[in-house]
Amino acid sequence: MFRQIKVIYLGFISLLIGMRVTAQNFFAPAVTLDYPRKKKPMEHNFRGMVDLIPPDCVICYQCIKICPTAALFLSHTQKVEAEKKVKEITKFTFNAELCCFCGLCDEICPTDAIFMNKLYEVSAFSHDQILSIDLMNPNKYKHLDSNYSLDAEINDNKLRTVGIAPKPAPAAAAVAPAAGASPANPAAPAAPGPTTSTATETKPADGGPTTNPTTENKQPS
Amino acid sequence: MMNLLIGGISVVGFISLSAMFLIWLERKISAHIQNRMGPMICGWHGSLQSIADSLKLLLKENIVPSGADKLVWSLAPFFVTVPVVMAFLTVPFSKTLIVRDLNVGILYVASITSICVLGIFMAGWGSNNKYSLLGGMRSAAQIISYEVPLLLSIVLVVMEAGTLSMQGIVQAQEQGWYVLKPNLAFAFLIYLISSTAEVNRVPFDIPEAESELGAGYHTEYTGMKFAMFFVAEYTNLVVVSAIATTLFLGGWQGPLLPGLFWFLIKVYGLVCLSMWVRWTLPRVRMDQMMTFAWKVLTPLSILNLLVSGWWMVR
Amino acid sequence: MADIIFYIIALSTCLFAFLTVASRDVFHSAVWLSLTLLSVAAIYFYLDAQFLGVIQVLVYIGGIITLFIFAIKLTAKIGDKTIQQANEQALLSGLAAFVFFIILFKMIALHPWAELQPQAPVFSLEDIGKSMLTTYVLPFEFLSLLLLAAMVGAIVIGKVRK
Repeated sequence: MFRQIKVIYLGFISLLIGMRVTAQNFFAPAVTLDYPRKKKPMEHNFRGMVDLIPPDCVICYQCIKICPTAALFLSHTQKVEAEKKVKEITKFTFNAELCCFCGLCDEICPTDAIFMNKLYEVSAFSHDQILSIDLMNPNKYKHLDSNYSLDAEINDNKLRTVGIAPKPAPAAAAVAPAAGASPANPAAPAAPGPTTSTATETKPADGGPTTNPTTENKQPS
Repeated sequence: MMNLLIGGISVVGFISLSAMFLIWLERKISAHIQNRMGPMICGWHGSLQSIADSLKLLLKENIVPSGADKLVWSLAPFFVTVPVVMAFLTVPFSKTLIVRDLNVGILYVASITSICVLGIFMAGWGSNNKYSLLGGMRSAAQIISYEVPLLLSIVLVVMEAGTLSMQGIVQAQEQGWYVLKPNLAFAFLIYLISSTAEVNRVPFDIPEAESELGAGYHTEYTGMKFAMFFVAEYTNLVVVSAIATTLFLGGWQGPLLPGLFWFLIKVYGLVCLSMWVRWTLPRVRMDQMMTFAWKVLTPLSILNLLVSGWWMVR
Repeated sequence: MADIIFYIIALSTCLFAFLTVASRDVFHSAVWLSLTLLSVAAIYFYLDAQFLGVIQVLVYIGGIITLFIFAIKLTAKIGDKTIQQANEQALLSGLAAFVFFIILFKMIALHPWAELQPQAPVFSLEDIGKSMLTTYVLPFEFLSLLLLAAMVGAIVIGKVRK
């Protein structure tokens, strides 16, 4: 009898405790984002769609050779300009259906011309829009995301390159810029981004032959 | 005559607006309690979401289940919605705003809401669906079980006030609201629990539980008929909150603002309390629910009645 | 204006009562019966007997119809068969009923009823309550005893026998 009364009383008190928890959660900030209006920026090594900086490309065909699904297609011609042979890209397309977003093309590119941008909203209305995306076109992804701008993505990429760990502060590192950074971007920066404190890049101090960054980073520091 | 007509039409208008507002409020409150944001897209913070939902429900196809008892199945939503709307006849919105102040006001409300049992059972049976049948029978058992403590706690208020009419009960609280007296505070507690069970809300929402039994007794309803059940549930919540406000919280009485504002504040305060409890508690099992009604609430309310009666005539 | 309301209520009562006896399914009959009783409650309200109307709804519809429906649907025997509506004597009995109706109608219509005062004497609720506990206390207590006996009997009958 008294046990039953105690049970009822405890039940009532537990209701009040629960209501207090609920009320506290009511005033706590939401952990979700109001998605279409607010978007979270992706991590530094997020692999989005494949993007290209056309002037930097030296048409070495490394990305075509390494792509495991043959999603990239490149063709070039040679011209004579001021008594020099100059290579020029005629067609550089990317098949987003075949691409498996592995990032190997980004890692192997010696000039970091081809890179993976941070675009993740990639639905299209028909196949034609994604079967052969022209990488030379600066507005290639406008139909997917109207805020897309090639310069912004290039800027993002300077700080955060796939396959490369972000650099420590410049005072600490007496090393030359990281392997794989293109000679066109001499200021391989001390990235203020999220440092993972795993591999720091090891680099021959006097800029020897550019080595493959993937194998480079696996060496113990 | 004209008064009654205008009163009736405005009550129906109030109910429709209030139901839409409450659906939005429920979604927002539940979202914030769960650390998320709820509807944000239609209108400011999703305030027009209810209108969008109503339009969607209107445009849905009206599917009649093949083995259903057509007469019973089609009539069920009306048996559930109409009594709830009729219960607003005697609710005192303010000192002068009441559709008709029957001298048996509170008894009228209690009797009219007992017609809902019929509607729910008809919905459960007429759908020709095991889940609906189970939901309907459980709901009918639950509602008629919890009517007993509900009416006993109402009887206590009537004993204290000396009159059955709603305006009379509100006037009798001029010296102090009834919730401030200890025996009536206990009756208020019993009333709140029983009324939560009457309107099939968590923790007593086994009949229409969304994650068990399909959707309970309104599984087979689509489009407008489902909208009627939905509106009936939220309107029922407003009705029991309005009755609680009138009986225990002093109705439309309050210091500065006109009576209507106080009434609405109190009613929606109780509704928010009900929603708060809804998102705090898990669902109660059917046998636990029946045990609670018959073995705990009914003896307690009878005891309360005895003690209060003795205290009044000692 | 008030007359029209009465005609509507009376018409609905008759209609639902007719549907009650004319349905082939017992459950439908119970549903129509509840609507009939609701119309009768409406008549009570129309005649300003509010307490009676409320008790009619509460007891008849809230109690008795619920009981009917549980009995029909939760026992396997009653609800299964459809009710046969008419047998071979349908036409003859219809004629007899019609003749009976004509006789009753003539009797009621031609009787000189005394005009009631426009305002029927109103018994307040307090009077009903007081008389139940002073003048009529013996039937009141006896009825409660009867209810108790009925409940105990129901429990005894409905008990599961081991």
